[in-house]
Amino acid sequence: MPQDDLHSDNNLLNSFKAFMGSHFALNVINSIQSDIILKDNTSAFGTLQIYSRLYKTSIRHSNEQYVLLSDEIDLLKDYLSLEQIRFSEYRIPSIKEIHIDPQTTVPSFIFQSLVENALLLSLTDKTNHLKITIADTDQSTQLKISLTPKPGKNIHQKVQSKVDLAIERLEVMKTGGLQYVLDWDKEDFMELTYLKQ
Amino acid sequence: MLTAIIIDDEQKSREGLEAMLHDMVEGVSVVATADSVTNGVKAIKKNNPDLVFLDIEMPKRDGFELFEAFETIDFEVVFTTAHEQYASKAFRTTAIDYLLKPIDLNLLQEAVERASKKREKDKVNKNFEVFVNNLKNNKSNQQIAISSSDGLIFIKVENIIYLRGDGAYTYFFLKTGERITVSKNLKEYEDLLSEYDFFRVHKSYLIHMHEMKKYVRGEGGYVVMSNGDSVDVSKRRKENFLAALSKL
Repeated sequence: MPQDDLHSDNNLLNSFKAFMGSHFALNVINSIQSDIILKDNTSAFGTLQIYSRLYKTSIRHSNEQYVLLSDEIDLLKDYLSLEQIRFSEYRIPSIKEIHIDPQTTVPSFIFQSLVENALLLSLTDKTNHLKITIADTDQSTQLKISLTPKPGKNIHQKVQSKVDLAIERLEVMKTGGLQYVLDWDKEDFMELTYLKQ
Repeated sequence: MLTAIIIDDEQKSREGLEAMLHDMVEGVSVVATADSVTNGVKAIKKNNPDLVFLDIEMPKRDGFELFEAFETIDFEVVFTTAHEQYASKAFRTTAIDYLLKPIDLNLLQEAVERASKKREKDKVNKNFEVFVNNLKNNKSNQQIAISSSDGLIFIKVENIIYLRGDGAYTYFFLKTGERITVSKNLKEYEDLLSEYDFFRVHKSYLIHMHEMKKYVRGEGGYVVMSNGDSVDVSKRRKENFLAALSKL
């Protein structure tokens, strides 16, 4: 196997581990345990359903450098639903989707780490209102995250290594032809744009 | 029956642990819950609990910052977190246990049992220490008794050069060159030794005023002790320190 491919595969595996082996997953299981103790079967069942779906999608994505944008958005939605269950006192926004082409592909797990970072920043400072937009045009696919007030480039300590890993992976994929721009200093908090080939 | 407080930013996590303690663990009663360090400090001051279950990663202030709000930690702490990486730091505080989420019931029961035994032992030690210190003071023999892991150590006050506090621990520096470590914070000894011309020159230092060799002026300045060690004087305490010096 060529060295670049091996590096890419390792990075992909690490991205999966960073997501599903993280405090996030343990906290979700703890939340299900709490529901069971509190005899809230509906909530336990609902959380378990979402978590199982997320787990299965993640396992599938852990074998693919590129996945369908629509699948990645589904994974993000499940992720945000679980965070909403954990932080019930905070309203986590839904993702605004613009012109999503179901056949568009994007690198797996990248969006999730950037969204998690923005979510943690907004939880830390509740004046940071979170807005997530995914737009798909003929030329590019774009993830835009707004935080108000805009803090500039800011990475939450909890996900520093995960975001670093995502950026490293994007760089490795560049050698395989991926064209992207990750901009922390636009009008929005963060914009990630993939140029379609 | 131990009284307990739960501090966790996740509502469901607080409710789940409270129900677990109520339904499945004997000898503990949850008297309050809090969703942040700030509210946790208020709840502890109001309820004076025996035991605090403390989450670590919370928005704004993490669990370790709780300790900064107290001069004396008079409660046991069990950390509850999904993160393994803080374990060693947690045990450097007063933690008696570190439970990973999702919480294992057996480990939770063991943690409560351990806390209960420690509270009981501390109570006996404290009573005995107070008794011995009173006895010694009545005889005008200036010694203090300090608790160690296997009993009491008697130290002549005149042999103490200074004390250094580090979180839940206090280090005694003696004329003999010995250093004794005690698992109590500095504030407790400040109260005990204040009548023997000891002065708190810094958040971390309590010095024996008769063991000073030199005071070097500065913003707060520093004191050189009889064993050659330098001890900082904080800016905030400088004025009171100079006033105490003038009374010597």
